[in-house]
Amino acid sequence: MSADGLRRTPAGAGDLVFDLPNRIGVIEEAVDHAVECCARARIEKRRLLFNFRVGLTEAISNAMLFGNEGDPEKRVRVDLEVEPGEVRARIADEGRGFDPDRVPDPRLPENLMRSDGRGIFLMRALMDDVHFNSAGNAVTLVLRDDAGRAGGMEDADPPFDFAIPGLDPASPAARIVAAMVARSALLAREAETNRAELGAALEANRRLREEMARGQESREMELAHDLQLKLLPPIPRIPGIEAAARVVPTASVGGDFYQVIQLSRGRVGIMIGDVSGHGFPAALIMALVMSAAEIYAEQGAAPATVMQYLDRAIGDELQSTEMYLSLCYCVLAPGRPEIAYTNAGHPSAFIVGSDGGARRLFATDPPMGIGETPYGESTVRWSPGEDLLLLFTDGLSDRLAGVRRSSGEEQILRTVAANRDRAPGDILDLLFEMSREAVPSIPADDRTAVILRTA
Amino acid sequence: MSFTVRRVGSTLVVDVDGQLIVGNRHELKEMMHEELAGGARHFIVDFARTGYIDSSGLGVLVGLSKRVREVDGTLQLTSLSHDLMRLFELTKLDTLFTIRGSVEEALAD
Repeated sequence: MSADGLRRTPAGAGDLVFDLPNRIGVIEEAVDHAVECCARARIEKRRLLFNFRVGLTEAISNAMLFGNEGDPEKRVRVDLEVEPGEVRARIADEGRGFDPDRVPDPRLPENLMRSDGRGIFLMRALMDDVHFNSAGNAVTLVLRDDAGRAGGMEDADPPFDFAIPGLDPASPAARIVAAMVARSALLAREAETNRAELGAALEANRRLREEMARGQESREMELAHDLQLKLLPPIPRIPGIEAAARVVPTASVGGDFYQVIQLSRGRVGIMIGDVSGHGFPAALIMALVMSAAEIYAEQGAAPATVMQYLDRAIGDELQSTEMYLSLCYCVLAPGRPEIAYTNAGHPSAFIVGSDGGARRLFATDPPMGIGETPYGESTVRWSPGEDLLLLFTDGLSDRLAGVRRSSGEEQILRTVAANRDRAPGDILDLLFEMSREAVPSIPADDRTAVILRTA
Repeated sequence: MSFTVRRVGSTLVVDVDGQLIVGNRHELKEMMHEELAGGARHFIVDFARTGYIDSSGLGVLVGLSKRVREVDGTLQLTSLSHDLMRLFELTKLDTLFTIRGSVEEALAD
């Protein structure tokens, strides 16, 4: 670990979400896929292939058979976080939960001949850490590299492993993967060379669109969906910042994304966006915006300036593809009583106060690709330690529209306000639980939200 | 997972290829039950080509060992990797099964 105990995970290189149907037949493949994604964790391969595979298999099968009680309508969600030296998997089911401490010890002589009851024991025996949420319907497994070798990882950058199983290297999807690798290279270089790299990625997009025109859409939609999930970065751990984000993509990929960027002097940038198109072209715009935004943001620029740079970098691309994107970017810091933001045509973000009241961060500009530069910027009051910052895309609010005869926005605000003292991740759980149950009144779109609080 | 079954004298040797886990445990169970119904009494299950076994897989083996015992048969497990062996030790199931290094060793018993 570095001196401040923090390590930035290269954006988009690790985290993954699996939303599994409740069928035990899918477990082996899901587990193998998860293990492939852990390559960059630099954990001893044998332990990944054995301890992690068994632990994950146990957790998922428990979730399906006991949590969801075998109900084929239910699903199991696996969130995978990969960092150098550590892999974390959170497995959540839709059941009522149980008390893990009430499971008898399978090693006792009276239990030895039972054919069940060893799952939780094995998880605990094989993983470095296992903890259940209080409801008992989600478990987090942690596997760490042996402490002795953890220090040795400091020198080398983890390798990037973007392999998607079953992907033809000549396919458009593989080209996007190449663009993603370019994206990571991009982050590592000096600012002057960035434009050339961006140019290469744009060129990849042009070639891609030509190929898209030739057809093969559905398979590519599927891969674009994978890609969107792979692109979404983990939330970096930043002192004094408590943040959580969630995306539930549709099958066709609506182009939602978010990004939490660690900035200099303890500041943090939060971005949420929604690309107008679908499928691969939207996913590539997303990749471009995210990589460029990270570079510009890290250069320390104010929100309006970051937007300006972004517009310059991808404006032509947006115009030629006739796409546009809504984008909201906020900058704040622990202990600082204000937020600076630019909102280009995105649904209002909100500050939910300790009294439950909500203040609106109105759009300052039209969406990128439609409006003209320069961009505006606003500053609003912020109570560190009390206020919650809430950003979401219209996929979430549209989905909730009409529930209890109120607008989706009202539903979201009511839920967040009522639960404002809880952890951001828990509030998101509630929101997405509600949205999953809601009957959509319009075609499904990606649903995305970010919640953040500062010290 | 797939398995191949061969007969060596009166012993049935089952080579397991792949993981023995929740999604496929019933295949092994059903095959063994059929063999038991057909009169087979002595079994060797070989895990030389198995990466991991989960608790359901262990459960199936426990269930099978009971069935085999009821008919005065034998069930031996062979070629467990270091990790697989540890799984049996952790769960104390090493005390329940006869575990041998290889099929040949088990056949010699």
